[in-house]
Amino acid sequence: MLNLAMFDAPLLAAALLIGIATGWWAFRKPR
Amino acid sequence: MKAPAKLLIALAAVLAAGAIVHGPLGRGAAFIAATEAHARAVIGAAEMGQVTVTFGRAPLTRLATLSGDADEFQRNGMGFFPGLTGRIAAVPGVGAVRWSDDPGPPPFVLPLIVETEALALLAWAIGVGIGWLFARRRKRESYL
Repeated sequence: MLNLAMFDAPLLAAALLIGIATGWWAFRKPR
Repeated sequence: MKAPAKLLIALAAVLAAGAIVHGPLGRGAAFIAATEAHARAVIGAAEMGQVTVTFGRAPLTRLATLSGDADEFQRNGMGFFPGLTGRIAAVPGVGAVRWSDDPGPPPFVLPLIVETEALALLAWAIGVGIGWLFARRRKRESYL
């Protein structure tokens, strides 16, 4: 059975933030 | 630097973070230990103290292996009455259940670290999508 404790919240939050930073860093248009 | 190179660097960072949290920080072992304790309590509540439960340790997996004396009814229950197999399968965090004397190979389960990394990568990919939305938004050039 699925357990919410598997979804390690700090790790997933960090991964999401890294992802947002990555997306902005990689795809922003140079001025 | 090109976008793919940046994505690869960030991907490696996320995988490293997942591995550190799982291994050196001990979250993987703690999760398996907690699940195992819960499964033990379920066995105790069913008054089947002669049965022991272990989880995969090298590598850590969510596969519960039961061993000890138990007849067919105690193992698999009957009708709507669950046996130990069903009760352990219902413990949150358990991925699969087998008995140590089951013939045939054990069921395939992913190592916990692979599941952790997959979840981290999913969260990262969602974040990249959000960041991409931010990055492509253009400044308004007019007041309209």
